[in-house]
Amino acid sequence: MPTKAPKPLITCTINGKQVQVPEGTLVIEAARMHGFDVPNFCYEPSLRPWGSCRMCMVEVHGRSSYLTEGCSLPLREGMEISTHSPGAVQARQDMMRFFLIDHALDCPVCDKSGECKMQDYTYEYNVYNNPLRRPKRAEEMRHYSPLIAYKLDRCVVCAQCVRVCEEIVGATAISMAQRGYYSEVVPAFGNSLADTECTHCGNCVAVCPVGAILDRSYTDHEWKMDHTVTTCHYCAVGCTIDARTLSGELKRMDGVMYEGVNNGYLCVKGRWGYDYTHSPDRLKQPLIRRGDRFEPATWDEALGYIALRLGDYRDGSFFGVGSTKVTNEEAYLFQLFTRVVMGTNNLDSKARYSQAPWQRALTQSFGTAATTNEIAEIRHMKCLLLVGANAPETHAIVSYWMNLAVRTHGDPAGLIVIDPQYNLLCNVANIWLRPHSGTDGVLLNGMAKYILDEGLANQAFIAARTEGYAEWVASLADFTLERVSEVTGVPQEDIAKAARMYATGYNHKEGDGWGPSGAFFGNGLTQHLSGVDNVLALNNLALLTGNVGREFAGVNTFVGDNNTQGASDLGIAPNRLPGWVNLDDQEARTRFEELWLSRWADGQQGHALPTEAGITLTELPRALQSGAVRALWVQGEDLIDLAPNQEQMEQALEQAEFLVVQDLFLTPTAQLADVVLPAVSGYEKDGTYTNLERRVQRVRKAIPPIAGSMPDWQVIVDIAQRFGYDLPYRHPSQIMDEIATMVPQYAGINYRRLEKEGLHWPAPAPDQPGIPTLHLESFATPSGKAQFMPTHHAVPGAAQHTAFPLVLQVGGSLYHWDTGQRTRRASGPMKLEPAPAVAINPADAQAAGIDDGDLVQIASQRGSIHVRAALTESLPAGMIRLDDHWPQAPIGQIVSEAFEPTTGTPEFKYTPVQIRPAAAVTTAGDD
Amino acid sequence: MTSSLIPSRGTEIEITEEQQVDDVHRLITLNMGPQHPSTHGVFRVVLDLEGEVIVNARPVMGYLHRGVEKLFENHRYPQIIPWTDRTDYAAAPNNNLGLCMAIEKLCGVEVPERAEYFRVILAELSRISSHLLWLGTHALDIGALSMVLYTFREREMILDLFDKFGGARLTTNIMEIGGFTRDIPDGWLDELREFVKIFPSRQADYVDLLSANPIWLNRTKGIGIITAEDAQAYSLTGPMIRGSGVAYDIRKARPYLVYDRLDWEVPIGENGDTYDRYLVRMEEMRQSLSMIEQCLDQMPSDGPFLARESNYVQPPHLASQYNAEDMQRHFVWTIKGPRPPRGEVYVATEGPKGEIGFYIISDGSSVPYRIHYRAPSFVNLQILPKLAQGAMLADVVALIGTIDIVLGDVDR
Repeated sequence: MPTKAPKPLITCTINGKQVQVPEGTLVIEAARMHGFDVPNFCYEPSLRPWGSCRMCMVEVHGRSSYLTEGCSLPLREGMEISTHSPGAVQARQDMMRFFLIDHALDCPVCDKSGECKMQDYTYEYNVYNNPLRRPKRAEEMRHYSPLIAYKLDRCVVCAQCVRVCEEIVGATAISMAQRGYYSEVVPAFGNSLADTECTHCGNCVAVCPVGAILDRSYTDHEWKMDHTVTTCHYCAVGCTIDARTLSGELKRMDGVMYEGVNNGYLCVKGRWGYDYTHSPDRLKQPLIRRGDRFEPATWDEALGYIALRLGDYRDGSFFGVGSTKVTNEEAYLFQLFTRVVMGTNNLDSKARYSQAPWQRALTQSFGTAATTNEIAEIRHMKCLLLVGANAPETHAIVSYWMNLAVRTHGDPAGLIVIDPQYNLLCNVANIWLRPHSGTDGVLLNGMAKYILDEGLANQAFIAARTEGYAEWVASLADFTLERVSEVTGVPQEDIAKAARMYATGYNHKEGDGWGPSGAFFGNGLTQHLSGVDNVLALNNLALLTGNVGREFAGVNTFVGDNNTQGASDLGIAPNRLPGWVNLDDQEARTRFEELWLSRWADGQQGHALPTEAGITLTELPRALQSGAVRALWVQGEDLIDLAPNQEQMEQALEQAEFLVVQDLFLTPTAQLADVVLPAVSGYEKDGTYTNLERRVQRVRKAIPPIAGSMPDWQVIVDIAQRFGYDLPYRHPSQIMDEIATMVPQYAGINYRRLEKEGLHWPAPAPDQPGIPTLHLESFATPSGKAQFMPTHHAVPGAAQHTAFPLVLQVGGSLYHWDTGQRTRRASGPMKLEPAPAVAINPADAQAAGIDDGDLVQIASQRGSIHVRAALTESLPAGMIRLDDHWPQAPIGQIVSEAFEPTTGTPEFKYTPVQIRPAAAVTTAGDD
Repeated sequence: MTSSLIPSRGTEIEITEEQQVDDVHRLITLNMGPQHPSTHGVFRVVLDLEGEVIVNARPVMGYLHRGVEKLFENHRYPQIIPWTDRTDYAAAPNNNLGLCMAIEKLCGVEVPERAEYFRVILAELSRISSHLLWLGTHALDIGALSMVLYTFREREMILDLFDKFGGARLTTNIMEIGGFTRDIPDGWLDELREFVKIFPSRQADYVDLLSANPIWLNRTKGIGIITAEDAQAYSLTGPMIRGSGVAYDIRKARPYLVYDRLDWEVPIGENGDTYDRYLVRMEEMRQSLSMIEQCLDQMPSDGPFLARESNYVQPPHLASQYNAEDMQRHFVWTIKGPRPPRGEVYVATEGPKGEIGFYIISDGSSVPYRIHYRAPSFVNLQILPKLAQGAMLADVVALIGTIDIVLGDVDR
């Protein structure tokens, strides 16, 4: 983790050993650094010192020695400390006796048995008699939510759960109530966590040192479990998770404390979204369509049949839909298969629907389509700008770090949230701007203009490291505060305040300039008609203030799926080869052709690599209908539920002559397929993912593939073999070795290095570390300088339709992910959110005569759907939100069909709709 | 082995060409075992016979090899105790004791006095039980069919005592690190006193049946003579060395538990033959009984039965159901196991068959880095070829019987 200026070292003595530690280090930390384990219940390095459990008593020697808590005592020069002096040990034993007076006799039935600090310390400190006795207080298990339970008589009142909830998660969903003997942890202001802002991240369960706060779904014991440390496969954060398994069954997900990007913390999907793996719906064997129905087949039959049929489509009429969820190795092989064996660049992924705009914008401005800084830097940023992203719900771990940065004692970071919707971070934000939907770009330009006018721009940086400044400044002329305020609906003084805060790093002087400010954005910027320009506006703002190519700053995005970054890096795109190489880069083409084309068996020599750019996913339906594409291989995506126009996609897929789908379940897309291949989930295979901060991390097999399924990479190797194309891999590590030779960004990456921890790309060589912060010396553009790009913003509000007064935003739920194929089969998320609901402001609801829980009809120009309403203040009036995880609320039937012109990304964030109670709709239903 | 007169199946013994030529004219190769009732288990001796005289005996062992040392090394310390039941299963408590004492020495655990007395009682009962098994089967092998009926009757009483205290008759798992977590059940000691009262008269019956029996005398006197020098050269221990007149008994030589507080003799033989070893074992039973009697008198009626203050010791059963601290210690002790300090120990105890030795290397983790188990049956059996050379074929069963092997102990 990058650190701020290192603190001066001081010399102290711990247990007779001379040690040097940074000034201000707590005794407990210093002791641990030097191998002395000091016990504790309430100490947690990420949290502020608390000092309630008194287990960490240490003896401080001096003129008069005394005992004190090691967890809240900063070391001073020359201090002499004993961590295990007889007095300290005696004090701990006595503390244990106090704890044990009322501690329940629950070990045999307690989930925590075997990993309980209470047990460990009782044993370690050999507490074998307790003169203090009184009748035990037997308390019932309290069910605070469908997933979380609390048992008071096991609680040691360390308040770690409460502090984690507040200081890290930022939800403050639980709190200590009562005093002394009667102290207890309760949901804030209620009996159920449903009444609070609980995100069900379960971090309270994870940090509980005893078995007081419990995961209700676990009910098993540690000593039976096998552990596999792997990487979570929901969002792009790439949390390090410890998958507990028992006889090939996943039993529980945990973070690995103090490791990985998540530092041991997880979110609800990572912790409770795993048991879809054992869903009875999982495909167990390949299916081949015979007439109207599927017949089970062996792998050999299915692959033989595919090879036979695909042979007819090697003339460019094939289209490969890659997945952003598979491993890097599988993504690489898939594009290799499409390009070399099928001879076409018709290759795209779901990234087209959300990520393409920022990839284009970041490439234009900085030369690299990736987040510029790493997650761990957030804690040291002086100001955070969060635009169009509901980080606490979609990428919760990043929001934890932001929350920590904002709450840092004595040196808090400033936080600006720009989002019409409420999210948890708004609670701690210094300023929350709520622009009208689709006007973020205008707002950002307004901020830039204000910074410019106020003379807060970093002129030295602009002069040294950027180009195109003058033209860009000229293009800003229109974005005066008055006009921007009028268009966005944000008060002028708020815009000015936010702009000043961002430019000055929350008023933090650093040398001649200002402290670093980091900008973060999500799909709220990209899924608009001017998605690319919105991101460019943010890039310009960062360049203007010198906040790119700098530590603790940057322009950072929340990517999307677990491996959207990796799949994009490795060429799952119609216009790029692996390593972000353009199709017309002759030198790179030669490199790829030399290896890739050498593998054909004799007499099977295929064509050279295709030079024409392929078609995009957005263009796919039309290409299918026109016959330009006739065969399709879909790797783990449910195209129908994903598409902005579901009906069109469905009809198009029906026209495909040959459709192969690899998936976990029989999705709507798979139901149209000619061959369905059962895939394996991320818990059942080895590989790597690249997360949103470009960190390549290992995925390890926690359980064997569910009967009959096969990892995607093996399928591709097998099918290529049947075409006479020999892929010599026996393990994914060999594929990564090949990637390292072919893709310069991944050159230094191999499995042996990844064994310890993830590596950032660019990793130039096996003996060099990865580079976490991009552009520190020069930008990756041809000139080596960042580009100011003038932007143009189509403001959607201008053409507002009177018949459809509300704006529908397609969002993502906290509890579900993607098309919901996985989370809808996971018991945890389904207990918390079992059905879709459209979020609507009470004012709008009242106007339309809708009550909470009513069935409503949402109609747009294209069609209408029915869904229950959920009234919430988190949305401004005039806006409704519906999540895209539900087949019973198919947003693909109503959302706008427009798309961003340069990248083809649909306008998911702006659809004019009307809403009315379903009862008012005639039985004929739609329209 | 087509050259052999008697076709033998599957023998792995290498026979040189020269031998083959000789064998054809002179020697009969006879397989005794592995499925033979008188080898006391799955044990095989390949005998080269010249007529009825044994020229050469080659023991083949390992049929019951389970790799117990490896099993020891893959279990946490307390989990090893049941595995020792399965070495010399005729005297499981003695093996349990050896291991527990080794672990206690490694961890520096002091066992309470009352538990030490009780350990002696169990160990000596086990010794009597083992000798009874030996006596019955040894006599049975030689032809005294009825003997086994009587010895098993008394052995049954001992096994019942084990059952009532520890819950198992044969694989007792009866000793625990640091003493005993359960107290002696009510009435158990009375039952033991009853046994102590009955047993001498029963033993007198055995003597009546055997000691003056001419067949018994003929088949044991002068058979399998081991000189004191040979006995020492072959590292024999237990009754095998004492039968040859060497008064070596670990309980006297390096006293442990409370053996030095008891009044007892080490019986020794004169001629080192099978009959003397019979006499030695018979006398040992009397001595053991006397020790049990003395222990019953000396043992404190009350007081600690378990080294409670040590972390290496399982908390007592009742306490760990009623006290949070003992329940938690019990869990950690069971789930994670005690972690003895780094170091090496060797502890030898006197088992019914000889020296039971446990050599433990601890690397500070909850499983031993290495355990070597010195099995008395295995070491004692090495003298069989020497004894058999020149003996009559019919004496082989007497020789195997007199060494007193248990194949679980030989093969481990």
